[in-house]
Amino acid sequence: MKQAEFFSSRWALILAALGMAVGTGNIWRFPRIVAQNGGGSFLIPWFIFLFLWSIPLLIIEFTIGKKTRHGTIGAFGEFLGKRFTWMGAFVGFCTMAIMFYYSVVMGWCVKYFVAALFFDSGLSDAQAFWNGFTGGYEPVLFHLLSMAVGAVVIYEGVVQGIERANKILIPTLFFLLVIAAVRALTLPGAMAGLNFLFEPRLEMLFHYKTWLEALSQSAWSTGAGWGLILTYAVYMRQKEDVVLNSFIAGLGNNSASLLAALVVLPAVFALAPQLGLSPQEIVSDSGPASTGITFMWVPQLFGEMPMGSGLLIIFFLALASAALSSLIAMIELATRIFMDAGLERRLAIVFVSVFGFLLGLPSALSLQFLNNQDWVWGLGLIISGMFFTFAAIKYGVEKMRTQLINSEGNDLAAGRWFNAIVLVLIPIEFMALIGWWSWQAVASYDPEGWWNPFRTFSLGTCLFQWLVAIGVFILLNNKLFEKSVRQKALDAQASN
Amino acid sequence: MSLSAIIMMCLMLGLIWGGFVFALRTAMKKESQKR
Repeated sequence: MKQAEFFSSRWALILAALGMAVGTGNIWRFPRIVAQNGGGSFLIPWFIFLFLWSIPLLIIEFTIGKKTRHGTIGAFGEFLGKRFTWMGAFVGFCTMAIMFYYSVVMGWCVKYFVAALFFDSGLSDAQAFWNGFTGGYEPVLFHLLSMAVGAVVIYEGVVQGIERANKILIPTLFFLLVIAAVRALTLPGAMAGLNFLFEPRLEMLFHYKTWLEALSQSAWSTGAGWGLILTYAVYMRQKEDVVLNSFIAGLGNNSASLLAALVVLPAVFALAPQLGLSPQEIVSDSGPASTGITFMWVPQLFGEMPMGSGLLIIFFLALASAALSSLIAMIELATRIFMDAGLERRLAIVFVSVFGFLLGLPSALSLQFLNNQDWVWGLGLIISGMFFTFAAIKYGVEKMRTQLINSEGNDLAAGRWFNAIVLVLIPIEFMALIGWWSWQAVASYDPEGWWNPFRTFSLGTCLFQWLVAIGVFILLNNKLFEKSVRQKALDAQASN
Repeated sequence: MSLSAIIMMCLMLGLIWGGFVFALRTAMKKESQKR
């Protein structure tokens, strides 16, 4: 089969994988979650789950993408057989549903970056600035801008677009985070934040919530099970490594998370007492759409320090870069699916970006809607991860490991540990995650209306939206298979 | 900073940043061997 484009080198693929993995969650979710769950004690399970969930799933995604050379729908159809095509459609839809509101979130980052760049005095009253911004139509404009920038990058192609963008974005992101960390760590009082970040509170290690939060963070942050790495793997060379590249992507993602925590927590602990505030309360404040530290406290606190505006510009530029590199991967995933169905690349990009903009509008206009989508499809990603695990088990984990993963060009052989993790540990982790988050929804998020499909954080809304999506994809299963797998085979025949 | 925090910091930064750098260096070596 002829294929138009491949990543030009291994480093280009690794940068793209890092760009996909490192997103806003590393910068604004990780520092808050680590602070709320015992600092150093949280880091231990978070590190363990990198190897027991994220990296094995990245390996599975790389392998399926490289083997099938299809987007998520075609990949499941070809890898597992026609009957299972709907699973790939669910994986693809789940990530697309996230793309719709992720573009809105990137718009917020760009707005704050622009405000910091032009020394907008409104940032000093963060709550009023946030309310003023989200209360109007500006989020729509910035959502449009984000989607347009992402689409332009993709429009240039894999090498000229994705590869070139990530070659700039990822080194810039790490560089900016290092500068910001150096500045934050040299503030008087910053050591208290460092101590809070790394001090192990051993009693927390015996609390199941610490482990489940660590697993959730690992599952969401690395992008494992989203179908994004599968999509990038379509463009990797045939004799390319899988296992070592997965380790690099996972460890690189966690390195960026730690770096972000080294910026946020020391800065909060150094600056909050100057305003008479409690650092512990600030780092635990989730805020609207979980943006507490980032959009509420960072602008206020950084404004109090000498040269704080420079650090604020760096911080929001890093955040916007992280968001863009992940949004690019999501747009490419959607584009690849429509290309498999026979659409020409440029037409597919226009189609995806126009619909991405339109379907992101409700999230741009309503935080409640965005929160609901984040809740439903964020949890849906755990199901996507399980579908990938099911794919590996159905295909045969041993067969996959020996014939597909440990093939020519692979640098680091996957041992039998891979079989044990995929066959036993990931299914157990899946049950624990789904069970725990469902219990949270029933017991604490919405005890009164947990069954109601029209409540923001209910279990009912998750089940309702997942089942509608799954039902539609099962009904369309045969059509999806014909369109994605057969169409691509016909195109390949025609080009030969 | 407490001693336990310093130990945890060295451990985590060593394992994660060190692991990342080690994995990258291994990939560089493997790539140069392939050429």
